[in-house]
Amino acid sequence: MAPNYSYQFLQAFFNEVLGRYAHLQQFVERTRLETGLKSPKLLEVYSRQLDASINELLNDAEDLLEAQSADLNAPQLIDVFHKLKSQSDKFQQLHRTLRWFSAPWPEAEVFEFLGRVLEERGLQGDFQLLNPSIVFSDEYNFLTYDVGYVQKGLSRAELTAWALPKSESTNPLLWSVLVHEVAHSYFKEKLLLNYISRSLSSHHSQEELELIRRWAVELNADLFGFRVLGPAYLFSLMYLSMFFVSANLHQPLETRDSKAFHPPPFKRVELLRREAPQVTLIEGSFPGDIKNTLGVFRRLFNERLTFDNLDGFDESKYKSLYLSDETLERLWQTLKNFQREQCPHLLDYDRDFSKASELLKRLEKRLLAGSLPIAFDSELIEKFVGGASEVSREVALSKLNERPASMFDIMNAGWMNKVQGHSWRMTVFNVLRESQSRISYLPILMNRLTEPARQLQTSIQVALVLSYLV
Amino acid sequence: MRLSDAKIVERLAEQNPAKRIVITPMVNALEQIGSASVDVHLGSQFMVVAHSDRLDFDPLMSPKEYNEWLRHLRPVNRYSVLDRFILHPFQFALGRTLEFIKLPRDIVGRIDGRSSWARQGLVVHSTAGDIHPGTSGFVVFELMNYGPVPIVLYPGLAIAQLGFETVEDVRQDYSERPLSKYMGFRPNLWSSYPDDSILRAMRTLRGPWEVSSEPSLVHEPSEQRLFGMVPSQDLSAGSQFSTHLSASQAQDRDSLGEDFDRAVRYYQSHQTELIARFEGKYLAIIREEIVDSDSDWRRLSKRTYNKYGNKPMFMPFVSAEPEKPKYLGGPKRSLP
Repeated sequence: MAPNYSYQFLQAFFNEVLGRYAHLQQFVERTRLETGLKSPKLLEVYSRQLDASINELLNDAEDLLEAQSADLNAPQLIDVFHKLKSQSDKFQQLHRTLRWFSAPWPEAEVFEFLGRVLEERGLQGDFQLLNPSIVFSDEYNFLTYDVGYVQKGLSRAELTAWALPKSESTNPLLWSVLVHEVAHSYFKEKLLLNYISRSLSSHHSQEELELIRRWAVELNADLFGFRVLGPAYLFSLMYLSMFFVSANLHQPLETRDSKAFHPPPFKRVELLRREAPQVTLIEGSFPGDIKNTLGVFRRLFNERLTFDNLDGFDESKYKSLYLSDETLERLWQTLKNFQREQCPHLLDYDRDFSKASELLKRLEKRLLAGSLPIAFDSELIEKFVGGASEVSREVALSKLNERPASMFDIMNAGWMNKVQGHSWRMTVFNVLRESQSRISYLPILMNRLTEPARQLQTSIQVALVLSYLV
Repeated sequence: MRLSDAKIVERLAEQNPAKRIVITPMVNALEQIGSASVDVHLGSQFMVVAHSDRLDFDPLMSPKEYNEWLRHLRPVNRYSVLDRFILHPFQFALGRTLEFIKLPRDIVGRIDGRSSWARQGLVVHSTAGDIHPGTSGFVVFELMNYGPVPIVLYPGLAIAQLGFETVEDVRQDYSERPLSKYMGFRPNLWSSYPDDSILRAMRTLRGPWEVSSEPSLVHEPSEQRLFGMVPSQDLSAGSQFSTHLSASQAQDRDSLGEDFDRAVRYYQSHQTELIARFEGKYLAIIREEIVDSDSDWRRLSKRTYNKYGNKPMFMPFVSAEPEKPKYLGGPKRSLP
């Protein structure tokens, strides 16, 4: 029996793989211009390979593109799903080939973005202390760049480096995943594992303890990402799982170096989805836009799970890599306690999602959505325009002032716009920015700025990131 | 008529989007709104032309030459309000406003410098000061320092002002013009590829571009299909018009065009027969002769250009089916 909405899921799957290919192609084209046509052969061959893969993707999805939702039967849908999954794999392999391309530093906006996001959560001091570097990864993956992996003798403690996929350098919606990597550096692993060990009961076997520790590190980073960015983090996690994980989503995922397994994406998403009401304090405070977006994601994610279920997988093979529900629940509570102790202010907020909704309205009108009116009062302005003497110029004009929106609001508005608006299918038209230079960030200067200067500074940073979202 | 401060405020606060002027972020309206203008700030992105071996900017250049020209542009980013960008005497640079601007169809804007800065020799726009009705995006500054000493610029400085005038009976605003080049969010501050009917005519008179033995990667058939880059002419069902013309410098344009037209006419008149023989392949036709065929367009063009030199060739894709556009649906359209 075919899943009810599988046709829509497959369409989204196709669009997103195609969109990622388009980003990759643009990255290559930009590199071609930068090299000054000095290495045309490599670029030509790679570009041809990309063309062939895109054609293959179009051919594989031909049935899907030409059919109406009712035209395809279950076996056809499953066939398209498998084809798209292998195309997604192929895209990731091609992305890996980018290691042959020299690449400049990622956009400085990525750095600015992270700085702002953490500052909003009161973590700017920690961000400065980490003094991170952000680099490109050949993997289609966001990861903590392990310098020791390539350079013996250097430890992670000496250097904080986070990596994002080369082709996503201009996609701020996916930069939110970087916050997960931030958590790996921000929380000292040893401290976390000691805390976990203390809270565990003694009846766990050695293997089980090892598994708990491995899951703890990842789930802790997820919880941090969710608390920092709210639904936007969940959206990006679901997005990458749905379209760029080829393994069954119930299955623990092998790490890059095959030394360990990450918790299954399904469990990670489930835990965060359950956490939503706690993080936002009142689920009822979600405006309709966030609820709708969550609804779309939930439905698409369930479709993916249904396809995975049809495929089935050998559970017994992974038995030793699963935590029981009870242990997982205890671990999750322990992680929440750990974060409450380590950074209490992270929990101490009640997010007002109405601002994200206001920004969404602006994005829908294709306006830059970096700021929000402070206290717009149309009646007062009308009186001023009409020449009423009781309304002073100072008072009336101050009502037109805007303040920069927070990155939190911007990211959530961006995801809602992508899903609800036409941008979902417009990813192929995203363009690369011309500049790819890295700047030296001088956060200490921020402390010397007066309040208006701070607002201006924030406006500058916000405007930069926002110019990508529309 | 130029808008006064009260009229500007009225337009900024207008509820009807068709009448509203958008300037965002409005950092400090009291300071920014003057008697008949609004001050705008310098953004954080600049672009300068690097000194190089490139001698000129020729508007008749080919797209390939234009791409090469772009490599001489050096983007400079200044992200903090205290990051300096130094504009040296007689240096030219591009910058842009911090503010996003959107104008309704009955308002034309004009960007101008501010007198304090003008007295230092700073010019913020060279010739293109008008902002057309219907424009949306950032306004690009054409910065020039005519003063005797370097000027230090910081992002966030209020270096320019916008004035507004009403304009009546606009039939087609900037957003509706098919040839609008600078609409919306553009990543590049530099000018787009120069292209209009006059330039096209001049290029025709001058003769076609030199084509190197390596065909450009830009105008690939698959890319045209994917990104909607429409071939310049749709000659017939099932054919793909190749824009990769080449020609000997000794021949004049008329005879080249005639050769090419002959090849097209030959293809059209023999289409049925050619479909039977070559379906699924690209053909290389010189005048009325099929000189080669291949399923890979790039391979074919490389081979034939190497073998026959720079001659006009028509390289259609042979297919009985007219190529169908692919429509990509999105969840909004397809979800119930």
